[in-house]
Amino acid sequence: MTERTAARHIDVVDGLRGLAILLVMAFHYWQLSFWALRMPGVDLEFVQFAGYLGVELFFFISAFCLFSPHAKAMFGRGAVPTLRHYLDRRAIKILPSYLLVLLLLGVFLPGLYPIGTGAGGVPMDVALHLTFLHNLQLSSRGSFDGVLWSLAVEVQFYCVFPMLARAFRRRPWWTAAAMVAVAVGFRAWARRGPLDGFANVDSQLPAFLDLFALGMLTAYLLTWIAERPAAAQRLRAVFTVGAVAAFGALLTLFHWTNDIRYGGPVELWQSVNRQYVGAVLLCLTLGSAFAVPLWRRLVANRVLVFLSTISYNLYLWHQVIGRLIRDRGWWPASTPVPTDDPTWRWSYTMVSVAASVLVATAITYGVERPLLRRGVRGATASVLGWFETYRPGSGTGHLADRGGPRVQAALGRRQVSVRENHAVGDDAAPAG
Amino acid sequence: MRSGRARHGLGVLLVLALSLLSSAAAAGAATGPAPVLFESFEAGAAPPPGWRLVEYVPNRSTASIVSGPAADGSHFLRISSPAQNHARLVLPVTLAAGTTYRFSALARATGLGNGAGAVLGLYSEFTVTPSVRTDDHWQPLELYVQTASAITVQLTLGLGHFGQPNSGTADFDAVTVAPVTAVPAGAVVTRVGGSTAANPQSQRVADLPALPGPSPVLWAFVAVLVAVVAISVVVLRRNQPQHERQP
Repeated sequence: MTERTAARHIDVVDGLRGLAILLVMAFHYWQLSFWALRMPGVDLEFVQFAGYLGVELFFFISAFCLFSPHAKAMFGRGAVPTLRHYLDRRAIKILPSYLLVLLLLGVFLPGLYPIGTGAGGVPMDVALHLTFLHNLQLSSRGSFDGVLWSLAVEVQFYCVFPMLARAFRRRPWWTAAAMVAVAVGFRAWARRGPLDGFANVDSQLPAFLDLFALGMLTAYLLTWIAERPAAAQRLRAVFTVGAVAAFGALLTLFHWTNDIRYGGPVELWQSVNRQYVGAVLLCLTLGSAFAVPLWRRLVANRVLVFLSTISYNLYLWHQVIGRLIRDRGWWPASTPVPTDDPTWRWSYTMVSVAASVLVATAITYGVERPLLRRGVRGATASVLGWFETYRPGSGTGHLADRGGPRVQAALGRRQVSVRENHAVGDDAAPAG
Repeated sequence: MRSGRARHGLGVLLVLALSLLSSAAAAGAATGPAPVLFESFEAGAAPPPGWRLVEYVPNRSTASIVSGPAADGSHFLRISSPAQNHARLVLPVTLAAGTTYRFSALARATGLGNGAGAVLGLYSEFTVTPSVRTDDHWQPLELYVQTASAITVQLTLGLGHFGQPNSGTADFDAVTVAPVTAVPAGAVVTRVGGSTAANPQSQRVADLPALPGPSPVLWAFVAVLVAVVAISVVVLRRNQPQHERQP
């Protein structure tokens, strides 16, 4: 597999990650604004409603990215990442933006999402969030920020991933089958319980293992196919048909879940059908990765790839920003209840999307990327260097030249390059 | 003189008859088809049997029957949320197929923050009436529901709405569900049908009715995907991996 081929595959996955965050935003802004995307002859409200499935796509892509270097190692391409490297990367990717959310919302906006309503009050809520166990109880599942529950699932998966990856490298099909069986069995068990709290039980880590398994299997299969470039080239048309059919199947699933909302809890539909959603995502990813260039460009277009880059922070902040703009009246409506104003609905959505993208871009490029590029020490040194350089009377040379002794010492340490960060599997998907 | 009295008597009789006829006609017009539900919360201090309180944050809101200047009778329903919540009182209502219903209530509200106030809607539906946000007088809430098939929906009286939790109190009275023949212009309309709506307070998930199946189009896509997978597996398995061919 050439580097160029690998990069192409990453682009497709980036595009799908961009699609995932678009879906999640479409769902939340639909809830917040009541704006239904309806045009003459086209009613896209079903896509807005089904946007909640964007979280499932995030989980799928995350497992794909985490397992990709392992898959390559299985075929003699590169080494299995060390545990230390893996933990380092996960921590740098997840923690800074997450802690920033907890800090800002906990200190400045504690009333936006009720904090400390469960047993143990605020200290327990904070402790659960710091240990990524907040999804275990209903009261802390949606506190601080309504979307953080999925981050708990993601980090819990990170904890078991090294063990699962080891088993997967030895017996990929059996391990995937076992993970799917556990997930399907867990959800069947959850469905035997009471309806109250069912949604929370059914969205714990074991209930998502099939999505994670299928993401890992996709990484394995993608590498397996990429090892046969001539055949993959001959099958381009077939893969394209597969990608289009998978996309059509996904839209049909969206329609189906949208219809369910009139007849029963959507959580039940999710519980019964999650493994099929995962299978469709597998087909969509593999088909798109080896499809004709036109389809790949469609999936990995610049907008989606950019959204993918900022997707983690966009996920963390879009709902908060949407609620602030609406609840604080920053985008005024002509009616007392803003959602009653049809003009406000769409204009508010546009304003909120733009504000969210701006904030996410600022945090991604101001905090997340420097940390990923330079590591904690390198980024700290940069900040220190900035202060040392710009104090009165200091020089204005290149950062590495102008920093003081502490900076020079820190920069002398091993740094992780941007290219390394972009390697498939290291730049894992943001938590959905 | 006698004929004058007779004419006067006939005139009185005519007026009486016309009055009776017109009042009978007016009564008929006002009544219309019999309502499926009329609830003015006159009996008891708690919500009538069948009504259940559903909360986004548990144990934060209350629903009670209050005695006072009601819109109908002398009692009304009050939902109170001292802190922000999405609190709803829901009642299952069975509707016939192919019918339009008017769901209505009189409401008032006080002490609200930003966002939705007193609303009427259907459980798990985002379509909802405009909010009532003041308590200077009782104001009507109207939602028109069109059914595709026989269905049990959950009539929902809410303080706040999805994504719009609120605090304060919301009062409701004269809750009516009645079939109608037409939907007025500008009315809030929602369409339901296809299966029986779930009761949000069912004891067990297994008690819920079976979910409807997917569109047949899905199977066409699945068939194409199966064919694609089969062809791909056959072709790819015939090809040796690149690295195995290398010396």
